[in-house]
Parts: sequence; structure tokens; C-alpha cells
Amino acid sequence: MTSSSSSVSRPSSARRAVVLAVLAAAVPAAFLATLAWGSVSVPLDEVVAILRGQEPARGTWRAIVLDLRLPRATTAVLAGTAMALAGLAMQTLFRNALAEPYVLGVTSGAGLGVGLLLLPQGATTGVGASLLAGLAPLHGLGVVGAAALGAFAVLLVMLAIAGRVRNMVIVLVAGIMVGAFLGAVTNVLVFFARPEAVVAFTQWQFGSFEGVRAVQLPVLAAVVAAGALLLTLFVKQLNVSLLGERYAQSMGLSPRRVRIVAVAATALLSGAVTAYTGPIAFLGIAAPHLARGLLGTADHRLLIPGSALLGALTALVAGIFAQLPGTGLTLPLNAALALLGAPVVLHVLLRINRVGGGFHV
Amino acid sequence: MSDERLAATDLTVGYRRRAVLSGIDVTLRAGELACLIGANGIGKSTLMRTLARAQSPLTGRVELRGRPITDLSPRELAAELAIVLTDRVAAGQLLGYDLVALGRAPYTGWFGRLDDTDRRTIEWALDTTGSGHLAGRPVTELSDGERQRLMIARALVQQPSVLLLDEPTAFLDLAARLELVKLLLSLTHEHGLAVLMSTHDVEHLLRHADSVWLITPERELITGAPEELGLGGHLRRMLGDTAAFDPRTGTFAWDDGHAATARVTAPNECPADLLAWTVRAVERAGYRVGEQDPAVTVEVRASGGWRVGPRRLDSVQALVACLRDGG
Repeated sequence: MTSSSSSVSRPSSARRAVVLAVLAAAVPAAFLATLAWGSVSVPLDEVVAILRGQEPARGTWRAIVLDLRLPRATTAVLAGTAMALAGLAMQTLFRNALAEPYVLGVTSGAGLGVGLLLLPQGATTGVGASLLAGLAPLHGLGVVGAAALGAFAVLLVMLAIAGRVRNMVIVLVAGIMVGAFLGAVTNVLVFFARPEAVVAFTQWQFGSFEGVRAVQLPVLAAVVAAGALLLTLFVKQLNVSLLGERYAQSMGLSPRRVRIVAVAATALLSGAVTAYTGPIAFLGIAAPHLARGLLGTADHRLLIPGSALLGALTALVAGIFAQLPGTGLTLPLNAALALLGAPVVLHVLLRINRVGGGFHV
Repeated sequence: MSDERLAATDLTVGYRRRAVLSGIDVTLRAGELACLIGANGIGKSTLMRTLARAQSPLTGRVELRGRPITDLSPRELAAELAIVLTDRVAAGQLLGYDLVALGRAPYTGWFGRLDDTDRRTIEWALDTTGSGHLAGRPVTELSDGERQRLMIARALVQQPSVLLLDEPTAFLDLAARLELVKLLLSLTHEHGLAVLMSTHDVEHLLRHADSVWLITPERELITGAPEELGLGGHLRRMLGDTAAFDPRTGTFAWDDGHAATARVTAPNECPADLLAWTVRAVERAGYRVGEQDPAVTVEVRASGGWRVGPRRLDSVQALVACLRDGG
């Protein structure tokens, strides 16, 4: 194969392996840092000792690391991985650089679910009170259940649309319309809600890795693993989808099946994460672009692990940043993600200069 | 017949309630380069989609190497028939080699891993299309012509016996068009592929195609060698009243039906190209070149320049201006 005439040096497979290896090492490092840093700093060797089941020098460290920070770090890894993979699936399916997990309207569904749960709270008269009475069964679900229910309902609607509509762009527009409609309903609820209820809802919208309890983690992990597995099983179809549905069909694949798998996986991944952490912005759109740029490939066999690692890493680092170690202050997670991530992503994209440039928007 | 690749019998193509073309009986043979021509919106793409099984026929059937196309599995079909579309393919960071490798999809396993046979086929296709030097480059950085070559290489690694191309020359410059025709001729005449391409590049293709599939304004499909269609007056009818086909030159030109005739004379030693380009200039000035009742006579002078009546003209611009003034 001759590529000598090309003036641009393309990443070799050796360089790609190095990039993946560095990322694979950086994720556990950031994970340990998450356990060590925060309002109280725990020395790294003590963190390792605690993880091994040994007694730390101070008794409180054990509770801080195991009960507080371990669930938070694990949530960050799962959420980062999930949002990155969901974003990758959407960008490939829609062949659009601006596509992200939330174009399907899943967050809006989850948001409405949570809104219906939280916003009528405290209302004693009028519509709010009757809504509150009517929604009594929702309270048994809690925030996570309500969000999951909303996300799942949107998933069903979007699957029905994706399976029926011929033009992929219509699916994209439909997702945005569903999101706009549900968002509007939520806004009406916010408008009529009592201030305390609005504060509670806004807290949820800021996003947080801290709300997930240890017992809930296996559920989140299982759903994220299922979504990731689904996408991994369809790497070949995703690769061929880069050429568009007409070519995919001419090469013996079923574009309809790819659509349904990608939509289902994305809704599972982003729906589960949103239910547990609130909407996580930014990661879904940024991680796949970074992976493409750093690995110099469009091959999903590399992009899936690459995006997953970058997503997990970004989420962990943003989580540490949100804690503002040494200050005792915390930032809202979504603000931390964008404050920290946007300049980094911009820098990398401008340096590589070609990332995503090939997408036909 | 053994060299029959794609055959349509009593085919009607169209959409749910609207037949676009009907009564199609047509055959594409191994080693044949066929060109599908006709006005925009007349049904060229619908016909090609139906032949490629991307759309069901309303009536009739399509056979691929003697088997009804509906009997083939998606993989079997992809291994027999490949398509090249005008859809712009531009995925971020997709490299030339990887693009071509996607064509192996009907042959590779669940995860799309390439084995030695796959790699050899990809090398062969890159070689055949002269695009080996594009393998390491991102497709987003390539010209339309280069990308077209890779898309054809991608089609070739499917190892099809039939290749359908939808307006492959649409975005190409002149040099790239000539290169494409050369490539398609080598694929048909040397490698035995059956190729059908739709095109608006009629004048050019008439010189090279083995057969022409012409859709008339009355939505009738007429097939034959380009020369047969030219002599039979079918090409003349193709564009209706918009333009006239000149059966002598194989070219199309406007014809308002009122053009005056100009007679062009030249001394015997006049070079053929000078005479030919003089004729073009006269036609550009709005005349029909002929012998009957000439309104004006243009004489190519042995000493250089032209003479129209009493006037001597030294440049083509002057000649055309003079003729436009009515000689």
C-alpha cells in the first residue's frame, strides 16, 4: 500500500495502540484520584489500603472513600462511558457531527417524569393539588423511577418512528419535536410550581454523580453494559452505516435493524444515566469527536473503546473539578463539565483541525 | 444465455399508485457498458433502484444471472450486484482504505474482520481503479473524482458481476470524466463486468457505450447500439422541442427552427481542424451550416482569415460579430 504521496501523516496502528493504552491507564488513575481528593484529602496509599480491606490510619477515611466517593467515582465511569457511546451511535446513525444522545428526546422524557414527581409538591390548591393527587403512584418510584419511566416512554415512541419512517432526517426532526413538546410541558409545570419545588427540580437538572447509592449501582452498571454490548455486536453495521442507508442496504445489511439497535442502545444508555444522575450534557457530543481525532479513524472497533475511555476519563476529571479540592465548595456537575471540557475539546479540535470536518451537516 | 447478467421482463416500475415506466424488457450482458439516458425526473433512478432491488417492481420481474432477484438473500445479492450513488460520502476520519474495505461486508464475519483474501481483493481494487495512493488519506480531503474512484473500488471488492452507477459523472471535471470512462471500459471489456450507468453526459458516452437505454419523453424505453439510436432518429426525439440532435456530429444544439443557412467554403489545402472550428464559430453565431439557399457564404481564405461577402475578417471574434450582424 502506498501512502507516501500523502503529505499528511496519519496515525499508525502503533500510535493508535499507544493512545488506547494511555487512556486505559489514565482512567484508573483518575478513579483513584477521585477517591483521594475532595473536601477531605486522603493519602493515596491509604486509599489503596482501604480498597484492599485494610484499616486506614483514620477511621472516618474509610467511610469517606467507600461510602461516599466509591459510588461517585463508579457512577462517573458508568455515566461517562454511557454518554460517550450513545453520542457515538447517534453521530454515526444520523451522520451528523452535532448529533448527541439527547436528540432522541430521552432527557426531556426523563425530565418530564422527574418534573411530574417534584414540581407539584407542596401545592395545596388548584391544578397543582389535583395533579399531585393524581400522581400519587409516581411517588413510590422515586426520582430514578420517574425519570426512567419518562425516558422509556420516549424510547418506545422513537423506536416506532425509527422503524416506520423512510428518511433518517425525519427521525432526527421527530426526536427534536418530541423533546420540544415534553420540554414545554415541563416548563408549564415549572411555571405553576412553588419555589421550593422548582429549586429541587433545578438541582436535578444540574446533574450529579453523588445521588447514586451503592445498592443502585449494579442496576446502572447492568443497563450500561447491555447498551455497550448491543453497540459492540453491531460494529460492522455501524461502520457500513457511515456510508448511509442506501449503501448499507446494497452491501447486504438491514439499515432498519441498525436504526432500531442504535436507537434502543442510545435510549438505554442515556435514559439510565439521566435517571440516576440527571441530564449529563456535553460528554455525548465531545467524547466521540475526541476519539476520532486522537485515533485518526472512523472504525467503530476502535472508536467504541476509545470513546468509552475518553467519556469515563472526562467524567472523572470533571467530577474532581466540581469538588474544587481544598475549598470545601462544589460546582454543579454540568457546569464543571463544560467549564473544564469545552476549552480542552476546542483546543484539541483546533489542533487536529480535521476532526468532524468530514461530517455533512 | 450464459452471458446474460441482468434481465428485466415486462417490468413496471414506480410508486404505490403511480407507474413511472412500464413494459420494460431489457437485458444487460457480461462485458457490456450500457448507458441509461433520459430527461430529469423521467424515471432513470427509479428504474435503477428497481433493478438493484432497493425498490419493488409494480409488475414483472428482474433476473440476475437467470435467478429471480427476489430469490437471493441480501448477502447473495450484494455479492452479485454493487451500486455507486451520487450520495456524498463524508464521514469524519474515514480513510480511503477503510472506505474500500467496507465493500467486503457481504463476505466478512460478524465483526467485519478482514482476512488475507479480503486484503488481496482490496489491494486489487485499489490497483484496478488507480487509487492505491488514496488508501491512507481521509476521504474528506479528496476531490470528487478521487472519492468517486474509491467508491468504485469499494463496489469492486464486493466482486459483483453487475455494477450500477447513478450519474457517476455528475460532479466530475472533464479530465475525471475521461478517466472514469476509461476505467469503466477496462472493467467491462477486460474484466467482463456488466455495467449500467445513468448519465446526462450523452455526447461523450455515445462514443464509448456498447449500448444505450434511452427513455423517451413518452416514457418508453428504447435500447440499441448508440449508432442505431442515432440513425433511427430516437436521439433526435429525446429532448423534444428543446434542442436538436445533429446526427452527423453526435452532438446536441439549440434549434429555434428559424436559423438561416450559411455556406462554408474552403480551399482544398485548408487544414481539417480549421474548417471544423470555422463551422462551430458559424453555428455559434446562430446559423445552420448547409448548402441549400444559403443566406450568407463564409470563405476560409488560403492566406489566413475569412471572407464574408466583401468583408475580410482576421479574427474569430470579428467573424462571429459580422455574422450576427447578418453578414
